[in-house]
Amino acid sequence: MTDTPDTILAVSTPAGYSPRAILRLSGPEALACVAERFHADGDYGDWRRTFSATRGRLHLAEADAQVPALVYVMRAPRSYTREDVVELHVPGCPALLDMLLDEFLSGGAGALRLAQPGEFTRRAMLNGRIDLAQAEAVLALIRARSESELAAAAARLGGGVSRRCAELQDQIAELRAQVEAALDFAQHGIELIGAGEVMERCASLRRTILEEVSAGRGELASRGAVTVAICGAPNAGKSSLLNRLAGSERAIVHPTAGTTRDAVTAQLRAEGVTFNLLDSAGLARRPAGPDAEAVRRSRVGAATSDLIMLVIDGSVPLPQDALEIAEGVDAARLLCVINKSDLPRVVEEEHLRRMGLECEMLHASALTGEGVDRLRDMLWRVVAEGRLDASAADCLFNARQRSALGRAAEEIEEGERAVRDDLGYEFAALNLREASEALGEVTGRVTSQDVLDRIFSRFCIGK
Amino acid sequence: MRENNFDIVVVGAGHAGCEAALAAARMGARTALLTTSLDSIARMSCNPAIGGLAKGQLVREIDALGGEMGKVIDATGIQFRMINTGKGPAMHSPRAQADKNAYHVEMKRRLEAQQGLLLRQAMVTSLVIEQQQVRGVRTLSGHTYRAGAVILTTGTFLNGLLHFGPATIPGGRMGEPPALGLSECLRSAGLKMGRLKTDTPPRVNARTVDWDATEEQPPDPDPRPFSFSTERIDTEQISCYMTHTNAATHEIIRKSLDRSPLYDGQITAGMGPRYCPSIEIKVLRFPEKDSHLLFLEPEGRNTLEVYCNGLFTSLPMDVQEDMAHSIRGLEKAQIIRYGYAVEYDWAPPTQLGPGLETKRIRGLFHAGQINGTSGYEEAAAQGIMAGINAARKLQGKDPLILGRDEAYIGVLIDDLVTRGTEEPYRMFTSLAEYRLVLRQDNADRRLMKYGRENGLIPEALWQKLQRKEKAIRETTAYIHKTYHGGKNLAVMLRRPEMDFERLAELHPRLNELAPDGAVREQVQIETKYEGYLGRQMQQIQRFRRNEEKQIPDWIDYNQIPELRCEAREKLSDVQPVSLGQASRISGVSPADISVLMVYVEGRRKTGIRRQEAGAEGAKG
Repeated sequence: MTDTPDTILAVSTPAGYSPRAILRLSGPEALACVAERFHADGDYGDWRRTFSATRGRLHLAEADAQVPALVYVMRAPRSYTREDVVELHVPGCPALLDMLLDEFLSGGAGALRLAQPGEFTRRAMLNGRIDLAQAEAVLALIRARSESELAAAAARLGGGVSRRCAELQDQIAELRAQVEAALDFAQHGIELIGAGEVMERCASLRRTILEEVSAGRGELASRGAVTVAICGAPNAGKSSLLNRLAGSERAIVHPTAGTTRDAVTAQLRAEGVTFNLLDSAGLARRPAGPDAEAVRRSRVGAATSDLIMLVIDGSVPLPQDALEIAEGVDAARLLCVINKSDLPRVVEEEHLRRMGLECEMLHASALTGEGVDRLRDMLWRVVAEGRLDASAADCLFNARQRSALGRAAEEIEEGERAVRDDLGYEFAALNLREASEALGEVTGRVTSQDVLDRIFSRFCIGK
Repeated sequence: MRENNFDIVVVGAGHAGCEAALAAARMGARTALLTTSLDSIARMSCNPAIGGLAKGQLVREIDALGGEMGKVIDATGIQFRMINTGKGPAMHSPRAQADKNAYHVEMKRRLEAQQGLLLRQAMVTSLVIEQQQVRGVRTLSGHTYRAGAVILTTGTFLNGLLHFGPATIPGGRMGEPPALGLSECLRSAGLKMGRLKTDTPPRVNARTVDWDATEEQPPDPDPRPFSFSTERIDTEQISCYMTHTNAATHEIIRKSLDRSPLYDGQITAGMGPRYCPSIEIKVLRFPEKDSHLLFLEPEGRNTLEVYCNGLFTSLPMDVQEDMAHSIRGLEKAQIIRYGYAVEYDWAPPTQLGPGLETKRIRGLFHAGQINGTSGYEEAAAQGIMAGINAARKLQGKDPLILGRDEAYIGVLIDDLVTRGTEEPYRMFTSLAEYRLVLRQDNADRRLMKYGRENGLIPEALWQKLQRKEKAIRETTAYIHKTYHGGKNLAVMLRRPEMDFERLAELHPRLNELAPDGAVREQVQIETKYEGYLGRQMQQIQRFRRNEEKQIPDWIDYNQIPELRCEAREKLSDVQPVSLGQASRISGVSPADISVLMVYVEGRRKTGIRRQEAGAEGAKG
């Protein structure tokens, strides 16, 4: 290829807690970027050799901390992308990964950027590493990845940092419209925005952005996964459903003793979101007294979790109190699984609806696995569509957002300087356009046409 | 003897048609330019001016490509101004008030004088199309002109309808009949057609204007020409004047809105362009403003007709009288021509390839208002490109496609063929991502090479540019390595208060290196804005990567199930030539581009591999 491609970076393991996470870099600057921050332990020889694995430490400048890491090097062309590839294996903790991404993305004037969906594979393809048949498989992968990101991106607009990103994008677009109007329509006798106001609004935008960046960091640290309480009558099949769910994703099941209320009994990952599944049956089995007490305890578990999965035995008539646990729970936080679909069906969705259950429902069988994939999708969609407070979904995109916000802030600062130096609005307009483009990666693009639309709706144009 | 066979027939002799015909003829194509009225060649139906913001840049670009517009306005203009000189160099734009009639006469004379060009008064009523290939045109008198390529530059004439309040008259322009038949012909050939509208203002008699009540806008003391081949402007310069509408004007308009053709559905083409709204729309949409700026512009040196720029309207004539008389300076003004709206057919330009050839009918090119643009400059820019590309096609060459990073013309055409337009498209600087480098001062350095490649630039002009480039290189190198009083000259020039003139006073050697003002200007701009220009160049490099990734024409988007449905439709519709163009289609997401990139590369690689295997097989 004649291109000199950028060096790209991504976390190539699912988000959430795990024993080990992998940060992958590919491109001409991959080795240099790692070299700036990596110190090999002991006498391993040169860690830059291809196919070497070296233990050492990554230095995080901002936190002034050392992170243990294992570094794998695959030099071009003998790597997946046929570029220099470096993999950093680090402890799989979201907050730590986030700091690492920050560290890598903040240094060295744009040498490194976050990879787009499927970009590693695309490079592999473009560089002739994989053939057409493989490439066509990749198409579907890119589509799936980008769709899940798109869905999640749309969901993010519902709340948290993301909504504020969109607001910022809107404010930038508004300022751009004013600046562009002063450039393109100065002859039309409209009121033009003054240099003082442009600078003021740049400064205020920049401040807001920097606040968002730190706010986003706090949010991530507090949230790593979505907790799902599995509730239902003792023989509804909660445990087998939980095992089936966890098994279908080959997640590591933590056989932790059910001694604490928030016991994580299994972890499920779907499209990068980690779910901690709480088996409330475990709570109920505790020798704490009569059934009433168990239900009360289930309620407590349900109240502190993000999502409640109500499991109902669909092969027997509904017990009187089957829906008691769901009372007063927001339907958006509730999913209902009508289990044992392998047996003759006694309970139908409409029965439950008539009883006042308004949430999403599906038939499944923990025994045969029927419907479990759909259940997994359903779980993920709840997060991606932002039906929770969306902050969990935010975690997924945090690094991308922050990197976008960071670049936007730099551009706006430069734009402010251009106006202060009396360079003319067209220079600031360039910076504002770039800031807008940077945010466009997380909020969607703002085109020149959009900016013109704003001008026409705001100003009386035409002499 | 009747000539029947041409290489290229151009239909319409407006600003697009004239450029198209001249370019084609100069490139050696036997060309016919057919127009319904020789007395309307290069008519300025609307405002008597050429250039202005972004439009002035277009004219400079047309000139650098070897076009005529700049030369004709230089020869006939009556007030030249460089506007926006208070801003940075990218915003400087030449503008000139035109002598409408002199402009027409000058362009007509140039067409008449052009070797290889047949100029003829004839009304074209249909196209000859055989197997999706255009073969010529037929005229009202039954005559057929055969040609390998046809360029339609029909302006506002296709099924044109003029509105004066509730009264309507068929016409392409006041006093001229519409072009009938062609639209139906295009439609039956499978092209989608639409309807657009635009307004004109009333013109008044200068003798009846109270000039003392208006504000004068004088010409520049040192008028600068549009054309790179014009040495200087010698003609006498005259002033324009400004006045304002007021609350009384607005009241008159509000009271008469029910008599506007816009509000009773008489005009089916919508509200007209938002950047050039009629006065009734302005009053309606911005009720809080009780005054709008108006420019009174002379229509020529030998006429007392004055154009009321800003008073675009299709209200009835009695309302126009009342409106005019309510305005300061126009209290006793006699209206010479009433304002009117014109409604006309257009062909949405996403049906064109980037060379302006229709995708459906080979050899058929569209330029100007038929593509949904507005403005003489926009029309002329498309005209010269259509002329060049029609001629190139007959020479068996690929079309000349200017990039968004190379020219406003590139932005204009790419916007049209990629995104289309919903209202008459006008050029704005904010539409150009790389406007810091697309300046009026460097149009020759950006584009003259293309004009020369196509035989449209005389050798002497090209040599002049080569000398200019050499002087720029040497002067730039000199100031970067030379110190004056311990300070680097380039660093000194970068200071806000410094300019090249002053630097040359301090350091007289510069006067010998760069005696030419144009050279000084380039060195100064490139030095002062080095940082920003450098960044813009980096952006351009990034941009070019995707522009250079060609999408082969055998691609069938319906065979790529991974593309979203909307993307498949839009891509099939536009048929982009590059991944870059594909990425600008609205409704095509970055993910679709990724899918497309992998698909195209994958296919291309196997294609090559298959060919190689075939070649080896043949050897064996």
